[in-house]
Amino acid sequence: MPIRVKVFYFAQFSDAAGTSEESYTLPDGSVSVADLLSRVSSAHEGIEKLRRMMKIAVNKEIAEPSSRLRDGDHVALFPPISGG
Amino acid sequence: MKKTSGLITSSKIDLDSLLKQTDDPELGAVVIFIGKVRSSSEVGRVDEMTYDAYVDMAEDRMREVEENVKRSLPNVKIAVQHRIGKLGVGEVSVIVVASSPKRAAAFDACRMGIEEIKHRVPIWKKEHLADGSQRWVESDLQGAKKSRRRKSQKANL
Repeated sequence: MPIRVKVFYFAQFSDAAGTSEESYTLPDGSVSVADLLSRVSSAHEGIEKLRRMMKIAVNKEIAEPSSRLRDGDHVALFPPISGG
Repeated sequence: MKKTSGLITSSKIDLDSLLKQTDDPELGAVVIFIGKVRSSSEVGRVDEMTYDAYVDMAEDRMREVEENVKRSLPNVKIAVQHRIGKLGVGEVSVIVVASSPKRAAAFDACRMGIEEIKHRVPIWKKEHLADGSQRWVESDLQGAKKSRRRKSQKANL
């Protein structure tokens, strides 16, 4: 079954994507964060340039490219934290 | 604007509310850390700062910061709040209030609270410079890495 996930972008990633959130449908067998990132990078060239500083969260927990995704997951892409 | 709770706010931070949360007749030492927007940065004069946050995750992390401090330092009360949105120079972006029976633990708790916020809570800031340019501020860790790299490159010259 294809899965649908929501992607949230913050800081430089939001600038590069030109949006703060969007949805992706991933086909059967493409269910890792890495699969999603290839789709995102194809859609937004600027995101690929930020890969070295990219942090990933799935459902508010820090994740890795190898992390598995499930239908309805919320994925966030952002740079290292700089608040305060 | 995203919905916010007490820990992350798009309004002015309410110091009185944080003081009330940490008020206890047994806790006679109160330490307050206030973080404000500075008028200068390493690249020039700053007019304004925009704070962006992953609000849902940031609120969870702010709660964890409070819990971590209380677990590490018994008999301490702590209350934290971070503001998001566009702030002018001198406006308050973050406040940590810690109270304890004695001052040493109150200072330790306040320090631990702000350090954890700066390293664990997903908030990012963008400087609006006086020359009209804007830039996202790198994390302390990124800045330190770059500085080490520059020093190492100089040493190799």
